[in-house]
Amino acid sequence: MSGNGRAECPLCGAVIVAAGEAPACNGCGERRGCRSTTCPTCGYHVPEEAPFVGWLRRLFRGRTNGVHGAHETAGDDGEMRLPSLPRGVDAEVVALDPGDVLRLQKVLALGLLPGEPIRLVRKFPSYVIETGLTRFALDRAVASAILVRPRG
Amino acid sequence: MIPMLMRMSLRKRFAPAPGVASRREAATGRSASRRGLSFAPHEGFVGAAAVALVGPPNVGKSSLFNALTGAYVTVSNYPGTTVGVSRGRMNLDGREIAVLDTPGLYSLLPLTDDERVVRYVLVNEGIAVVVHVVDAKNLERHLPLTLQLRDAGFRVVLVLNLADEAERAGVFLDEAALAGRLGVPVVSTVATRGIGLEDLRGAIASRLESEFPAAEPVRFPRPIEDALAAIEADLAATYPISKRTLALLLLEGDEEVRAALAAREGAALEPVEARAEAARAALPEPAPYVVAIALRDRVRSLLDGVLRRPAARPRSRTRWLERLCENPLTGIPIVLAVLYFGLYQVVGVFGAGDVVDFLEGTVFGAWINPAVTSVFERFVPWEAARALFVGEYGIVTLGLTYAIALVLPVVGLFFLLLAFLEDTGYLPRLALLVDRLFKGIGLNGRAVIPIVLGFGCDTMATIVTRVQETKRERLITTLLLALAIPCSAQLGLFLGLLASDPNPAIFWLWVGFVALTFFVVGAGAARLLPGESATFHMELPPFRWPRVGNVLAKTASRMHWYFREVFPLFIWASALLWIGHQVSIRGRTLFEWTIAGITPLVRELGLPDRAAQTMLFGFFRRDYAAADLFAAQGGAEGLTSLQLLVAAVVLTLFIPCVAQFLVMKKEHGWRRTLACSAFIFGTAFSVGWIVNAVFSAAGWLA
Repeated sequence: MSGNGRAECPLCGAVIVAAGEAPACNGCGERRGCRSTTCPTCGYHVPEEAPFVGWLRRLFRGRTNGVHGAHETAGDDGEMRLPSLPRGVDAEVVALDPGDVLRLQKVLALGLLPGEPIRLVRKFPSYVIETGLTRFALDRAVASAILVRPRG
Repeated sequence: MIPMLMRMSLRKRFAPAPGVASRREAATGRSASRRGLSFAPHEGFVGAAAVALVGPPNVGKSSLFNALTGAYVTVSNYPGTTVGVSRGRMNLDGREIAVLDTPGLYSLLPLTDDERVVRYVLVNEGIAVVVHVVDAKNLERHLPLTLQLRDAGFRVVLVLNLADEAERAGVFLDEAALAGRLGVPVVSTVATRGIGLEDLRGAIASRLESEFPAAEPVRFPRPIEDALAAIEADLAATYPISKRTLALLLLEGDEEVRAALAAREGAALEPVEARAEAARAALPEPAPYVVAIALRDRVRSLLDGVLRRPAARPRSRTRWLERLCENPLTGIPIVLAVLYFGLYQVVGVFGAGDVVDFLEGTVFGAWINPAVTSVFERFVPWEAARALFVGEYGIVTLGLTYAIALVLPVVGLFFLLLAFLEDTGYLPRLALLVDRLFKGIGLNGRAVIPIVLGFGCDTMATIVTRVQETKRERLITTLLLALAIPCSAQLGLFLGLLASDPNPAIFWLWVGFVALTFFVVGAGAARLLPGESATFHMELPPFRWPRVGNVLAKTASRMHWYFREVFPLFIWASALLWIGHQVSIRGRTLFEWTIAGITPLVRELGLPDRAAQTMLFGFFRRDYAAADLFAAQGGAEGLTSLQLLVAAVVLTLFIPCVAQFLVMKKEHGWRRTLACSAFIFGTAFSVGWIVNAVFSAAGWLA
């Protein structure tokens, strides 16, 4: 059985394939054309998933967009992620989340570096910010990468 | 892109190049990333002085290019409309200098294919002077790139464009002091009004001749500096830009630069890479972050005492309107109003109705076609040759008539409307409003550029997908453009056609079914294709009142392009139809055989047999088919409301026109294009079949 994801035996629930590993199949003697995995715990033959099943699974699965911690509460020093900043409050960029380098590069391209003034003027349908004399529209993922602290 | 750039530049470099040069290049090009940087002067480079205009989008590079070269290209108040590189020439004290206009560039570390193209041009085309054009209001945001360009070893001229807006905003700058500190000549301009152009010419001329005193390069924190010095010493080959810059880009993790260096240095690059890796590991933050902060700090110290900013944020005169357009409560009604008045009233009713009636009925129907036909009947005795030009599918009577009388007015009015909207700065507000909606179909707000342009010409829009960041988004956008975005020619005709039906509901049903298909297919593609939606960020420029000259120039250059690319296809389509009509096998012409093949499908959709001919035309051009349908509706075989609806839905979704098919192939390759086409074909028929089956069974619109 191929695939990189974690898989569990549908009968007994034992982990057959840990993420990123070869299946812990207890083997059946067949060498070629094996289309199933044998559960090492209960001996159940798990058939290999046909490719189109994966397609269907993806089609009906909700999408996630990898936005984490967008609504973290403010820290002790008043630091918060941009989406938590109330509208119309003058603030300052204090740090950028380096988590995703590509996303970070975009924020850098906007020139939103620590120390720059920032003000959130709209949260829906997109985030609109003013910094200096420029206005930008951002989505939630980009906005979450920016950590700010209200001024004054 | 690369081999094409080479060939194009051979041909275009010293030809007076209008904006269309960029179009053609773009139409035939591929992404620069496919082959990457090579550090070799490309063939065709003859060492002549060339000036490149670079800078962020939407600061007036194209206006400046027009003003310098006297040629017109597309200029806009919207990021991302310059695709590919435009080439022109300017006269500098009796010398002919090549001038290149490039797509938007924020940084030497590129994020999109467009930015890679600019970097490729800078590195490989032997540019003598780089004119960095920035928005004078936001100097501190753009100066880091000036520093990067300077430190890379280019002879830079800094242009502060939109100087009038900066002055109004209360931004004042001591240009001479900045030039001295920066080691780069600084010029203020207002490109749209031709202010400051003589100063710019002077600066370019002096930059061509003389060296400016070299400036101290920007210094970075310790681990970076140490690594840069070591890497610089290790790079053995010669390069067109400074080794320090290459070392920095390598350190920042630029894969393209790494590959290009590896190709030149061979195995010697391995220890260098290890050094870069070690330096990266020693940094507390990702390298691009540390570099950006160092650049920003340098910019701040450069501007200290040189730049005076307004104490309070000046109130923009158009801010209230900007707010209305950005707020969904008022913004969505504004979008609908723009669509209704612009698209429906101007393009649909006036363009596809009044103008087309006059051109088709009077100009061609009553004057040109009868005259040409009588000439051919008198002087051309051979029936087949007559048919080629003036027959039912003749080049003049069909191809020329459709291209000029039916399609041209619609496309022209659309481009005029689009040029106006672009120059006002309205489109980024549209992007902002639809971003969330587009996330659901795997795209982001930025995709409104190609999608809106698709309502003008899907072929052009498919090329513009290059402004998108990922292959995944480009593919989804390309598929949706081909499937569910009717081009202005189709749109105009369908609007006229559907409006002429006694039942007004079918217009909305048509809109509904096409929109439903758009979102369902988009949502499916977003889930099936691997990867995530790219994030969205976009600058919102202040509203500007468009200049009539610029709007007309832009419309004219798009029309010019349209004529060059699309007009010949009408002629070819007529010729192919003529061949299909002349060649016969077993007593039936090729044309009849093909129609016989499609007819069962057409009957399945509940349409009259004549619609088979319409579908066949659809292979040549979608709008061609619509035009044929237009003719059919007026004829004896008037369609019922349901038939009209089904035909309009299927034709809208149908196989793209030949030109678009070819562009898709160029941008995505055969495999994906054929897969998309098969999918589109299936979807178009399935949707049409379902609509017909459901409505027939229910007895609606009978």
